[in-house]
Amino acid sequence: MNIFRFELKSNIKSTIIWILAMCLTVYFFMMAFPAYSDNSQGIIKVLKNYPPELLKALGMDINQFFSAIGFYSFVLIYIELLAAMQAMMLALGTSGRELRTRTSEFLVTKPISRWTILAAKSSAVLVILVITNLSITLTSLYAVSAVTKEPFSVTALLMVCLSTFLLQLVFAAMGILLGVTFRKLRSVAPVSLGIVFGFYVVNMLKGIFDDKWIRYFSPFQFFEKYSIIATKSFDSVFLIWSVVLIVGMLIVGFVYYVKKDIHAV
Amino acid sequence: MNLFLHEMKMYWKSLLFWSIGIVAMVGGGMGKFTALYGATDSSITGVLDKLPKAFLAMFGMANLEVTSLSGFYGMLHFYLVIMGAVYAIILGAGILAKEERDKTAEFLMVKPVTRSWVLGQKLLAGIVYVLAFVFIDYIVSILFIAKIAPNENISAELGLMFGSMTLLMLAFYCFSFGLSGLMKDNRRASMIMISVMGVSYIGAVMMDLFEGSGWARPFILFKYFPNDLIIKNNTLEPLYLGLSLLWIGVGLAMAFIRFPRRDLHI
Repeated sequence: MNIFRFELKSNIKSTIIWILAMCLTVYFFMMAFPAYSDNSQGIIKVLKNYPPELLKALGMDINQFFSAIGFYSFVLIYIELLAAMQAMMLALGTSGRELRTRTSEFLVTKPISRWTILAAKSSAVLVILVITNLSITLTSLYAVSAVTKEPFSVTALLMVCLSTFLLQLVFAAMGILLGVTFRKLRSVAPVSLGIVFGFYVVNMLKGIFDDKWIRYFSPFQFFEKYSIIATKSFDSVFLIWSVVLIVGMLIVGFVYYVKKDIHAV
Repeated sequence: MNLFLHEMKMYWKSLLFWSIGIVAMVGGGMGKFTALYGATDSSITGVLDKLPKAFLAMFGMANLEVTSLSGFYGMLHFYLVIMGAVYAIILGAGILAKEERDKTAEFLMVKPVTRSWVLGQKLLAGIVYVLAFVFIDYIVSILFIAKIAPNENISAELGLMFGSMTLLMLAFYCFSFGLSGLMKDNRRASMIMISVMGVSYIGAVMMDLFEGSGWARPFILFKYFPNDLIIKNNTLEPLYLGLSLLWIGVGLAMAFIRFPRRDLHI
């Protein structure tokens, strides 16, 4: 319990900053929606002339695409970038804290199992991420309803936000795994920045590398936001895949941490 | 000279990995362009013109004519600049701070050299790497462009794009270098720089989204030399040249004034 509280306490400041940054980003992006909506009248007219079958085949629902919630899922990629950064840095910083500060002895000589140590740390990460996502979800709900008068599906929005949470969990699990398996951890920020931006660039270039299998290795692409909105359900293959990834990485991380040689300084 | 060589040896491996990233990105991106390049009929441009600007901004295509070679490359180049900025920050925030972080500062500082000399050697090694990054990027881009569009000459635009990229990367590099020299807590220095870069990136996207947001330009480094203006005017604006030099100067000043007299944290 002490470890849990300690991790919460040491992360509280950065968490508040992250939450503020992400909520502001959501809000400001949504403020651009009215202009976007006005500008899109021309293209809507053009698209209305296309046969509806074609649009359906392209996965485009005009009403969805140019609605506030469509715009939200559109700008979400930038929020996801921040969210992934936060999750990765948080998890890597928490699980690798002793490694980085060379204080492992202090912690592992306490009369608690290593399993408990890592479990306490992971739950602290989980609690922080839940709080973060609650804040983002509430802000999103508020921002979307503030910019549009048309009714929108709250369920769809909540599910899109849930996909952000899943993304964070994937990156957090990755961070925990890396934090316990690294031999040396000098600084958290550059490592996380490199990894998250790597995945982000892969996603940005998804049009270029359009092989199907790449999607399995690119967490930003796990869930198509538009299909979530359209069907109000997750792609079951990728839902299972992300849960497998999260649980798998955590199990490997825990097993490794329990067994690993921990070097004294 | 030893320190310079030592630092040079430390970083070539990471540059190798970054180069692979550059090749993948330029190669993949320009490969995509071949499809667009052949089909420059009015149907594509017609659709693109009608799309809302915000939609284009999301793909980094605002104000750029992506059916032309320079426009398409300009779009791709934006992501290369971001990659470059990440590289410059990681390099600048680490090259000096790692001595304190890895507890090797004593070893270095008891050598019969001044701290400014140490600073100079490290700074120089980093600058060489920044320039090497730009150079590799340039060569790779030229090769792919020549392969895909051998008859088109956009070397003037390319020169300006890479000139501005060099400046921006040096600004990011020198500022993180200075900040890590100034601050006792090197983690905070790199966190600040990463926030600056995040704000610049999201700010740049937002500036494309919002009309009349030109006032924000001096605060957003990625908008100092936007590729659409480079293509349109074929020049780098002196105001922003000056501003990037200012960032470089401030970074160096922070390092060379503060670091030689501050307590080292061992």
